[in-house]
Amino acid sequence: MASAIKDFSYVFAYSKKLDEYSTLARLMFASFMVAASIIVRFFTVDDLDVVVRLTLILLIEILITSRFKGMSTTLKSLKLVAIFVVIGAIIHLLSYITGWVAPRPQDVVMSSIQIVALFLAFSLYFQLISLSEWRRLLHVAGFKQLSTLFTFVVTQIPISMYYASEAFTTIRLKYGNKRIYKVVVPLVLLSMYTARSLAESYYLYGVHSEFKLSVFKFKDTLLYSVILVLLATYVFTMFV
Amino acid sequence: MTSNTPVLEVKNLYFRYQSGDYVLRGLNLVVDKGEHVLIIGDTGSGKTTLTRVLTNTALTIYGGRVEGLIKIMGKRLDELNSDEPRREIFLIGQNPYLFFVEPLVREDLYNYALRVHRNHEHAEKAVKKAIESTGIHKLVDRYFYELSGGEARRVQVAKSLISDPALLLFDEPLMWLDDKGVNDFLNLLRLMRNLGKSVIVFEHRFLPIMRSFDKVYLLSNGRLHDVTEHAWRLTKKPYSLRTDPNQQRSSDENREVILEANDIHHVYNGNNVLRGINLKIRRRDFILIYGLNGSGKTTLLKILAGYLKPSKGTVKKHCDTIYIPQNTILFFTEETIEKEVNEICKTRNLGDNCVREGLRILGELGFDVHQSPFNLSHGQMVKLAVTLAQLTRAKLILLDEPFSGLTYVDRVKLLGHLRELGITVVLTVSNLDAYQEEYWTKTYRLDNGLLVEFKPDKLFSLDRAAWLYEELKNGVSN
Repeated sequence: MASAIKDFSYVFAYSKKLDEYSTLARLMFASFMVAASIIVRFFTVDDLDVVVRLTLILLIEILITSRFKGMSTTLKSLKLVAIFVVIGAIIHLLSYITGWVAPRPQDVVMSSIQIVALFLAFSLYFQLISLSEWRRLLHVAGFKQLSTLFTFVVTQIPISMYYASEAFTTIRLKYGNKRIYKVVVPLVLLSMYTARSLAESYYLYGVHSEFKLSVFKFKDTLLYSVILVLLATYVFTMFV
Repeated sequence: MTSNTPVLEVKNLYFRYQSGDYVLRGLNLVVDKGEHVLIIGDTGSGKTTLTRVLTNTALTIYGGRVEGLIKIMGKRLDELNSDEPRREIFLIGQNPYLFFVEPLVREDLYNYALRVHRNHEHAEKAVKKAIESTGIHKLVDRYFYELSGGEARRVQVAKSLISDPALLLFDEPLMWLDDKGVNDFLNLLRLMRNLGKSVIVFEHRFLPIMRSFDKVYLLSNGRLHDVTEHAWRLTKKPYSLRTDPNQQRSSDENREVILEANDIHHVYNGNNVLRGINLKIRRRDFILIYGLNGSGKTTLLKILAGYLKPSKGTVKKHCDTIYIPQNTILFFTEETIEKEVNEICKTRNLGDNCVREGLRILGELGFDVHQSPFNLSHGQMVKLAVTLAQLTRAKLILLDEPFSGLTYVDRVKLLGHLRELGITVVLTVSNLDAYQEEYWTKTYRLDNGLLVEFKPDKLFSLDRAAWLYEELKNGVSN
């Protein structure tokens, strides 16, 4: 569990190799993938259509994420999601066996895959768009204070996840599994200390919101092509 | 400002936080251009507070009360505009990871440069120059949380060069640094000297770096005392070990084996972290495992504790174990020490006797049981964690780098406490700047995934380091 939490945090880290694409294209791409993951079941009743759409979305997401982060990091980051997906699937199957109204097993599988696809799509907002860009976007949108708070919080996620993983180990060895909920106490305190230190960092180093947002770069055509292919697949599965 | 104007001048400085007594009481300090100053002192003596006062966060963030005169480059701190102190004094804090505001190192540097220069072209130039001066080319495309403690500090030094400050403050820079990291830090100090930068280092692990400074001060009772000459004399003074006959650890091979690890292998992220480790722990063993950061010490302790399953090999345990992490604050869950005792006894079904015994021991050790464990110093936290662990009847205590943040005197006290408890201990360290063979039944080195017994070369003994520090303190109080 502890290592799964740590690996999970890595998926929220901005990739290092994205300067060749414009901010707008990356934002559009992430938004499109989230939308596409949500409407997988829309405008069709055929299971095969859903399978085709889901497969394509997952394939694109894993390819994109792996290109920037590496396949192993991508797959590891899915461990935590997989734990919840498996728990959900088990509950559904149990209710099926015990005679309660439950979805069909194939629906359970497909909805589980959809959750993974949606999670990966949502993480693209953080993988493809840097915190400086987010700060600028929020600043332009009029959320000046939120822009700073948001970037400080996201920056500290991986370190906080590491502390969470250490706290789980320690409390489990101290009290056993029954009182694992007590892990909250040291983590809350640590968060308070961290918040105070971050306030110092902000005062000493500050943040700027003058980042230049780009609207078009030549390589954007690649991302827009992927969007078009996905759109075409949705339309094709709607009518054929 | 003339060429003789000190970079920093502090006269009769008093400071207290919103609640509580004065922490700094009539403190004086002068730092000249290019001068390197080391300030040592107990945990809680006010070292970090002084950094906060000098960077003005004591006032702006902590809302404390400052009295006295502080001049930076000849100008009074209270007459400077809010940006000036931040440009002239650069702080590199205890936990360098908390001083990043962007995940990618390059972006963090660029963000700061843009804040300082307010111009993209100038910012880019400043970042390039800072990277070249500190040689951090290989680090700039990494996330800050992927850096080791030493690397993170190097990046912070590069960041400091962007604003070209007159004075750099390092608050406990050796905390969490292994021996290699200490060498890196010494190289950084040399670089700062070549660049003509004034430096103040606040550190109680002073032995490995003391020779690199022009002046050494001891912070005690809220004041600074110049101990430069005294410290030099003491390091040269002959010293005979005060080891008592009971301190010498017996490596008797007939004692009962309580834990046996056979052929332990562990793979993490595709790396062979541990490769065929064999370890036999006997009752009342005091085992020291030395290894640089990232050598797999924590992984090994977690495997011995039974929390991690090794990729290959077996661990046979014949007793309960308790693991105390490096970040000791994570060990505590209750609002008072008394409740910690109650909770740990209740969890293990040890009854009221356990509670009474625990409160008695802690009382004897000088703990106020109604106090919050989170308000204790790091040294006290480790001591409390060890005592609580003992109450659980755990026979084996695994301590992950408990010496980080402890003075040499506190280290000796902790080892003395562990010895009195009569338990079995496995303790890891990443540095050997004060080592003493007599404390340990066995010393191992964990390197490249292998655990080998080793005998360090002649080092400054821990008892001598503690004695030296006490002598410095006595010299001041006399």
